[in-house]
Amino acid sequence: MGKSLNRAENTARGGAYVILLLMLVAAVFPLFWMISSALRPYSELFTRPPMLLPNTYTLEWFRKVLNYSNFAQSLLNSLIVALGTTVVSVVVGCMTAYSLSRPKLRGKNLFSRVILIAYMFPPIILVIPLFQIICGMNLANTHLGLILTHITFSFPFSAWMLLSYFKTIPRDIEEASRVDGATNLRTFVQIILPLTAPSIVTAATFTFINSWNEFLYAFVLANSNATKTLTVSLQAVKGGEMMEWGVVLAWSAMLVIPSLIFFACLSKYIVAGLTAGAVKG
Amino acid sequence: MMRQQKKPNLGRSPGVWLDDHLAQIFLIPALILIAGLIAYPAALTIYNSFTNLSMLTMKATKFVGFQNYATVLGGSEFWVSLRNSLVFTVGSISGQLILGMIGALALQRIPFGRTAFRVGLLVPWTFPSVAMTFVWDWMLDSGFGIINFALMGLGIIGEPIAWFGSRTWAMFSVIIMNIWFGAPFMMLALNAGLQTIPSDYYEVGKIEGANFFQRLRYIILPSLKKIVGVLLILRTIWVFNNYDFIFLTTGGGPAKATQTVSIMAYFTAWKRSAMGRGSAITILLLVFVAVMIALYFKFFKIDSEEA
Repeated sequence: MGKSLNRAENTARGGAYVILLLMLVAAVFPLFWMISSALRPYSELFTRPPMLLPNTYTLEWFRKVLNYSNFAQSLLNSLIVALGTTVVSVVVGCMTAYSLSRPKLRGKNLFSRVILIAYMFPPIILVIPLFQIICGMNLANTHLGLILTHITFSFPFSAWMLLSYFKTIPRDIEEASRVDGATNLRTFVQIILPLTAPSIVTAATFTFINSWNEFLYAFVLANSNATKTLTVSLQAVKGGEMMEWGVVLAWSAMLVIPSLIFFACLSKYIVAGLTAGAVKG
Repeated sequence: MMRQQKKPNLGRSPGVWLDDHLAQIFLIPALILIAGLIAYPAALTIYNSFTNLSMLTMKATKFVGFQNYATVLGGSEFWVSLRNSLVFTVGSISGQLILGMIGALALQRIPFGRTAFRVGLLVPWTFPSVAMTFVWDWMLDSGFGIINFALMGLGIIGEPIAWFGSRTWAMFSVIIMNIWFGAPFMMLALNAGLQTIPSDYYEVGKIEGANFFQRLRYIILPSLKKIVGVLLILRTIWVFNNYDFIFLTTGGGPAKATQTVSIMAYFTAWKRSAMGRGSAITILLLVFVAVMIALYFKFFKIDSEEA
């Protein structure tokens, strides 16, 4: 290898770092700007030109959000809906993934396809009939009604994601358990579930976040204060006549925090999870 | 399942029978969810699209045949919306893919700090649509938006632009926002694909004296064909049918400049109370999705064991 080749390699590396740094700045800047704006007093929000960092820091906007008449209720609603969606989607997802990872189950390819197709169904296509059905069952403006709609995207996703992990469990381990006289159910509970625990946690996290972030279904199906989620309430604040940027940005920041934390903790599973199909948006 | 492993059939209790059929039994909840929450609503939409179902009464009083489709396809609004959907989709996805590819190749090049970049670049993906659109609205504000000040400081624009509020710039702005949102994800997925290329391929390229573009053309792109295909199809379905990003920024305006088919379907069903006609529009979206799904299955035979 000549020196010139090394120099070319170094230039390429330097260029790669420059490109990635620029991308990183672009990726992170809106997050930074949202937090930096939400932490400054009213007078500093509207300076020309804007200052990158506030002169005085204040939690005034966050306090205002917490005192908002329906913030606490919305938070509770978001939690109930996201937890309900997650429990159903992950429990049924594990059962489905178990079944579809049996090599001899008849029709498993067809069923896997159905799950994948269900996953690809965009909410805008289902929103009208789901609205009609949920209203018809008198479940409009209930947590259950919203959970049912969220299952439409989170169940196929979690089943699909879990399936890719369940398939990786070595069959010998199960065979050994069965030779020991354990039933299929027992093998599932005592052997398979513990082995796939990390993937179950990952799927549960994604499901929770997707439900927490969801807007369209909640927007059409939860418009009473008792059921509005954080996203819908924030949209109402933003669209209201008394809209205050400080409140909107502080609220947005609080909305992003859970997914930011989860994603940071799970970053190494995310690419796998995303390529398993989580490509919404 | 596993019929051949059946134990000697001595007084088999129902419990044993159930356990033998655990795989089938475990599929029942999934069947119920899919049938009730996806298949039935989809079928209901088809039915609704032939009726005059109204949002106000939640009742269909008559069967109107293909009239909803004729109204939708016969008016100019649908075609304007379709064009907007296509511009939004092609613009967003090509931007995401190009930037994602550049980022993925750069990430492959660097010896240190990959994990840090990966985590940092995932930030856009963590944003709920509501928070993302509102932050962009704040950054693009015509009075106090930092982007206007930055561009003016750099001499790129002379005076502030109301990005989301201008007929000229609204579509451009939502596309840029969507590229911001989706490019990092594309990058990570493509980078994962790059890591599966065996290093001997590169060695051969080196020995043959291939330059960067030759390697890209003959080694990298062919190896990524599959992942790029999957990404393109899935992302196209999502972006084409996306509702939140546009509704929450421009609301489809100004003057329908950013009204996509999804937005039109929503407005028709909710604002004009014409749920039957709204259903017809979503069926047209469904046709598009069906074509994409068919392409997906045609190109990537998932029956094997591919996830």
